[in-house]
Amino acid sequence: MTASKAICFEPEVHEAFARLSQDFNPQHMDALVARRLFYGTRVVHGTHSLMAALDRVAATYPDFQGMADLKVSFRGPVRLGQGVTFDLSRTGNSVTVDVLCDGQQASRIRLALGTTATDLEIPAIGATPPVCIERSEADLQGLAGEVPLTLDLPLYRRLFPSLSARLPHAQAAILLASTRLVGMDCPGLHSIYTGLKLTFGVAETHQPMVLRYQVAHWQPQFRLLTMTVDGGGAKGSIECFLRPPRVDQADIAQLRSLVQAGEFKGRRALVVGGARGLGEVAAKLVAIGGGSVVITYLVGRDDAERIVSDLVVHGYDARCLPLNVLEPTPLDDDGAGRFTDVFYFASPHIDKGAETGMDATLLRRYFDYYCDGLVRTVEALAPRLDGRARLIYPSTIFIDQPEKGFAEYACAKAAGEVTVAHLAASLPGRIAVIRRLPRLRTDQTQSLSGPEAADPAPVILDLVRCAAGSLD
Amino acid sequence: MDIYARLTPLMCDIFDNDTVVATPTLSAEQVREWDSLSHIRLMVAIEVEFSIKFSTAEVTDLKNVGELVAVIEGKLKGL
Repeated sequence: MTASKAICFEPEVHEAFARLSQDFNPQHMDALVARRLFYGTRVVHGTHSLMAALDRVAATYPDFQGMADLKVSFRGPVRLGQGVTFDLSRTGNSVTVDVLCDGQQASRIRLALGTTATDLEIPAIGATPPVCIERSEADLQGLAGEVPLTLDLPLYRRLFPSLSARLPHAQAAILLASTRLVGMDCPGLHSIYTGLKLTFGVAETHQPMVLRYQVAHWQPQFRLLTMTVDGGGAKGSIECFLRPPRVDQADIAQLRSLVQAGEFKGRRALVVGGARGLGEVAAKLVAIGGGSVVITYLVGRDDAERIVSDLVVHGYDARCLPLNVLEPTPLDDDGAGRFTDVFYFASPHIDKGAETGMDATLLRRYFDYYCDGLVRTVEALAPRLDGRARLIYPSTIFIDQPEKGFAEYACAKAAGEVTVAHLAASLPGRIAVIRRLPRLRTDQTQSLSGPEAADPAPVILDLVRCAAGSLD
Repeated sequence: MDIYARLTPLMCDIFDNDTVVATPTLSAEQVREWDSLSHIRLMVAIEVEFSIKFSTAEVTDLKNVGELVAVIEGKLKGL
């Protein structure tokens, strides 16, 4: 086996690959949108890591002149800036590449070396970029179409110098078309590309330069889609998931029926991390109940402003401001009084951790938010806190009911409970309100097949009322 | 061909691991490639192979291949 040096997909290279493939799905390209999707951040195109791996194959094996067969399983995401290594092994004409990211297998590539007598002349990329199509489940059954085979040869040579010198251009164009097909067309916007199988034959010059596709199997229960593809001398199949869309929380009209008029009057709440998810629900509930609310956001300014605007239009008292809990700065005194409640919903993206033991890096990231960030934020806020302010810390039921892969999360959340209790004890009169919440429906709990998450509104309303009851 | 023999090539294909052999005690903990996404892919491949349908609860509560085979047998017998 040959292990390669780690490489990192830097933003400039990532964006160049998007231009080469014409796959501009926001999961790859839009940081703000991607933060609310399945992986919580922008991820490298699976096909980018595939072609980078093939570039390494071309550089390693001088007899590489193309592929007879290719099978790829994309198992997990590679985030922008993460390093990957390629483990290459070869038996005869069969080559296997494991793409490893932080020690985990991000993808496995198996190929049979082959040669192609003639190559095709691939058209250049058109002037108009493709539109990212949003398809519903109902659209998918039996869907068929085609995507053009195109290649920006200078860009391809720059990104993949070894591969472009050896791989027939038609084969490269097919790989690039496959990610464009999944990310932009079918299933399009809400997609996760998980598998590719291709057999390469003779490329026929009189055929249209397209990759044709046909949905062969759509399993709505598990959101799994299989397509057959052919074109450019290749035949095979693509497997992908229809990714769940972002989770929008209940609107004001829906929440108003739950809250008694004026029940939170007199409360001035700071909702840290209130631009979406559970924080958004808490902020709306307090405001609807007659309290005043300040929502903080890290990067989701648009989301926070939309919530505030909605509340204000309906006559409620709400504002928003930026706050980074890892580097908080004191809030300016707006003259409107001190906060009676601080809801601490700040969280990084909740990733699965180690199957056994603890992933120290992930644990550290959780600790940064649930412990260090909490301490720093409360210290920065201290002058703005009411003498009997409640520090409300939403914890997790995973502490009591261990969930495989979430040991780091539960451990850090438990440490956060201790942290908030000590913070409250060190600030005379302040009260810690800790509640271990069940799995609730948010961007963070999106799942392809996991257990259904519960409606957050009644649970968070109970938390807000519980906090109020801690003094009343 | 018994169910275990039909499961083995499906699992090898889904997990991209030629060493996997379906046995009653085999579980996800023993196969590195058996993660949540590949579990779903396996269940869908089994649905196609055996012309059956799983409920979500049936595929999330399985402890090992023995339990999976019991569910498949039940469905094939129309239980």
